[in-house]
Amino acid sequence: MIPKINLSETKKIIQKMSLQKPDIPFSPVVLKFIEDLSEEIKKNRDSFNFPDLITFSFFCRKGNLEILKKNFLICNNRIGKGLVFHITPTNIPINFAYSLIFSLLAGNNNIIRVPSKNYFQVDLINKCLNKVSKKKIYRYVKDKFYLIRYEKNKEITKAISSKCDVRIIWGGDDTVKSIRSIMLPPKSIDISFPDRYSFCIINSDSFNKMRDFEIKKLAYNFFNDTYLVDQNACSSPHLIVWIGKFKKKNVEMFWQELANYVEEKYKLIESSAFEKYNLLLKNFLYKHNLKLNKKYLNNLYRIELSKIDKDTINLRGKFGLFFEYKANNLQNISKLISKKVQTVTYSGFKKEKLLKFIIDEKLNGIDRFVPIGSALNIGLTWDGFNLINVLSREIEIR
Amino acid sequence: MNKIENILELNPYSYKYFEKKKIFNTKILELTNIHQQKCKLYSKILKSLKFDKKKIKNYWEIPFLPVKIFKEFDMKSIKDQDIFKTLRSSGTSGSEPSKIYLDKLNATNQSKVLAKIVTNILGKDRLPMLIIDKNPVLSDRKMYNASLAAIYGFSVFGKNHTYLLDENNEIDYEILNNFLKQFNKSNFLVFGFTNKIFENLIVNLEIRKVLYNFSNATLLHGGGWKKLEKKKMDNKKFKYELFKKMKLKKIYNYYGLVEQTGSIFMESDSCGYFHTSNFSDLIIRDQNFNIVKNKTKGLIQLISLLPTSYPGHSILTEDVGEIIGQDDCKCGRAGKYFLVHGRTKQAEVRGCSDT
Repeated sequence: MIPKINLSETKKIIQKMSLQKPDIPFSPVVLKFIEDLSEEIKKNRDSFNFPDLITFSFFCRKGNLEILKKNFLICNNRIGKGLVFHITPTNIPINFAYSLIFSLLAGNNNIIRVPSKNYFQVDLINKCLNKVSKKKIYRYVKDKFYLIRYEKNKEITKAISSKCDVRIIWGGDDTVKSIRSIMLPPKSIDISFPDRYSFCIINSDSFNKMRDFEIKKLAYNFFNDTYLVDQNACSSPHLIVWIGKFKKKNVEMFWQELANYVEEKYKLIESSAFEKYNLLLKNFLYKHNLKLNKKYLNNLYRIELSKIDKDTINLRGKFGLFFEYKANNLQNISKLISKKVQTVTYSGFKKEKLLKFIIDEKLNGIDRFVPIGSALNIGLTWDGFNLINVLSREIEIR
Repeated sequence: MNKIENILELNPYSYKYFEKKKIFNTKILELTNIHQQKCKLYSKILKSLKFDKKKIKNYWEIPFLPVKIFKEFDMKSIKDQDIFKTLRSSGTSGSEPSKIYLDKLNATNQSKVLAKIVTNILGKDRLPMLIIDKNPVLSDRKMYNASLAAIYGFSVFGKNHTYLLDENNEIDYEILNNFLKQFNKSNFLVFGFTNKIFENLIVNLEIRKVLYNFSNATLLHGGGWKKLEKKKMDNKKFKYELFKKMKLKKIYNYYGLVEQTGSIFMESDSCGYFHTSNFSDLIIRDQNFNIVKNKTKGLIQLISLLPTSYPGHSILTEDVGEIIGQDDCKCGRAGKYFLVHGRTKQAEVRGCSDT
């Protein structure tokens, strides 16, 4: 387990980390290190009980790293920013690991605050990191990161903040705000990943033509975007907008298929059923004229919206609670778009049309369009940032 | 109008299944109508759930409100000027307390029903009462309203009220010994919250400093086991420890929520189960809110005839319970008898990076 640290220990860590030098993005030894980490996690039997660990190790595999490197336009005029301070959310065990990998790939040295709550996943990754670090060839990489744990402590956060080049804040809006109030050195920057809202759009023109097995597949993909994380992820949709000519029969079939998957693959426990019901009633009290459209036991709640507006993003689902809305065309949904909107998962739209929609409507929200089923695939572009670029320094040479 | 009065005249554990069903079907539907008319938020919820009273055959089908709703919303069916008192739950740390708005009638009914249920066990005579807490007037910090209400609420069943703890929450042995010296020859009452009893009587009390015994004591305690679960303390062990340490054998636990103060569920000493009274009922539901068979664990739904000033007549708790039987308990009380198994286990948080 990662021990809890106090202020004087923190200061020693900062001193040590400040001596480290930045590196180029995708440095070969770092890539190799991440590959080995992936193997190490995969080798550990306990990992198989945790889908998040499996996905993480899959993200870190050689093949994926090569794709990431290729997609990153190789310009050899970049170098890491220096020291990155990661503040990761308490409620998501494995977020810290992605944050670390992104920053290592960009060429940085890192102090990572892991969740103060004990998670098996955190300990397992820590164990694997330590094991890989023991190899002689990684002596250099080993000093590029330091995992720490502490309860809310402004002095510790202040001490690290005063020396870092980039501070990455993952968490709710309040966390981001409170940490932002702690000053950074003049040239340093904050990258924050606050609370976001995501939804789903389905083009009825193509949906209405779908055959049964395609509807089934779509429902399955939608299940993966939502139930797998209890709709807790910021990229999990809360709302489905049916765009174009609405055919009730097909839509009902989609929901029924989803309900079937849930029945088969998802275990709703009593406390979640309580939470979900409580949230349902809270939503009813929040907005006028909401009606529980259909209920598939407690597995799936559907609420139809008669209109959408800027406030719609405050209607949230959890454990399989969804809102739906019928729109005539894509333009109709502009009114719910704000800076809060992160991911729109879609089916039946051409990529060009989606990009054009944002540009034509001059929208200040939607950072991501991904096909239904890929909502949770985190990558080097997140919340509108190219993470390698923001975490490294570009050197101009003429 | 106030039919509670009629029920108060009976033995509080007299209604058997069919009679209870008949009375509750009328009373609970009546309460639902009242709250639907008088509480805007409640009526909004019923409308959104597409509640249709014509479809209701039995009182347990009436929508239940999750107890958390009372934390986040002011659920009340009375005008602000009619609020006589507001009960606040202690709540878990960090969360908002429940707020229960009472008018005079509702508050009076709560006291009357509480008395009916408690005197069924303690008898009508007021006994000398030792309270395992500090005197509320000594508290510098304002005590949580519901704890205070409980101490005062139960105080009416005793006399010579004596508080065990001093202002520093330390046991005052002099006061204790004086109390025992005076009253331990015949029956006396000990009252406190379950966790306070544990902390002070089971853990802290140094028995060598106690000069008189507790064998004539009746202990009444409630408030939940949440804090004790971590210490692996359950009702059985609790009783055993108290008997072993201080020969305390008459111990009654009660189960009750601030959302339904008054119509509490008392444990019977002869069978060891909680009992529903004529004023309350309990339903166990699974994760789909279907009613489960007896001797199956599930979420506890509580029904009470008392809430008239707030829509708390049918609520869903976060507690897990199990009905053992109905109308046939060996202790002779009609109604359901049941066990409470603490809070439901929370789901592991599965968030962002779970791809």
